[in-house]
Amino acid sequence: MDKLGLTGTKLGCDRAECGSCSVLIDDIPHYSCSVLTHTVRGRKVLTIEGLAADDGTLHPVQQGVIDEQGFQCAFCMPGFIMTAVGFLKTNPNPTRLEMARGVSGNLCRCQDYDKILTALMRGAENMRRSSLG
Amino acid sequence: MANDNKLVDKKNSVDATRTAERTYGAGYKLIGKNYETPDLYAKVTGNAKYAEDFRAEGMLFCKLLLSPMPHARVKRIDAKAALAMPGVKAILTADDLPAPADTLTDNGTVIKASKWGERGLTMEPVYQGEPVLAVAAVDELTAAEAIEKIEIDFEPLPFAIDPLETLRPGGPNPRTDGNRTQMDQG
Repeated sequence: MDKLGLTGTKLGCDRAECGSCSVLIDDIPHYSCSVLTHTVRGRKVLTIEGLAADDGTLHPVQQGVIDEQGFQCAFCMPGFIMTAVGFLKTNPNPTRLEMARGVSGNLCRCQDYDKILTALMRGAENMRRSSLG
Repeated sequence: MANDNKLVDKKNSVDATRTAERTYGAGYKLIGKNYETPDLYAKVTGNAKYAEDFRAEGMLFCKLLLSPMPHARVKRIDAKAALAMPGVKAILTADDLPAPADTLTDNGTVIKASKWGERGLTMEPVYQGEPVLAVAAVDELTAAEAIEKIEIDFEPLPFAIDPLETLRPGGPNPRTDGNRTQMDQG
């Protein structure tokens, strides 16, 4: 992805431990560091850059992060957001604990988990509101 | 702060009817107000550039050779094969770095240089993973391959992973000059 100039996806550990590199492959969160390129031939890969609408409107989860000032350095943020977006497709109305489990494959070195969860829960709420119209 | 940034802004007192502001920030310009940090939008959209995202013309990439042992002395380094690789530009060892220097603090105290102090590279690593040498190459993969091509011999030395171990009679010294740092000489 670096070769494509898409540097939004972050390479943290490069060995499937930290989740910073998470992207959606056919709507399911994957650690992109551990997925070989040829295995995604013909599949839909979504990175953080493709999440907002073409007109710049943020995805509800991105907006949730803005609303709650979630994350500190935010290096892990693209991974957390992509994982949360994937998780919310399977459980659009999670409890805080369920959301914590949903993103348990993502690590934050700043230990900002409490605020991250608050931001992602706000994102989930934004999503439900937007789907209600 | 300039005068126009003074904390109490009378014009804003109109907003003071809001409960939150009545409680926390009546009439204040910043307290009790939402704000958005300037880099947040770039970060949520993946457009923010972190150090590793920058590229410059002619930029080189560095890889470090790390000590595989908790305490060792480097006996021999042969970097000929690595240096001969196309794309490998330079190899740095501790000898290429300036000697540790005394530090002058803000209040005028001098902290004496310690040979165990923060040096980038060392010929006597005192922990597993301490950098021994650095390779600069045209890209990351070439630098990593060059690291593999370096012949290096380590002589294992005694080490301690529990400070109490080294205090017992005959206990191992984690450094060749004993079991203490020179921090107290400052």
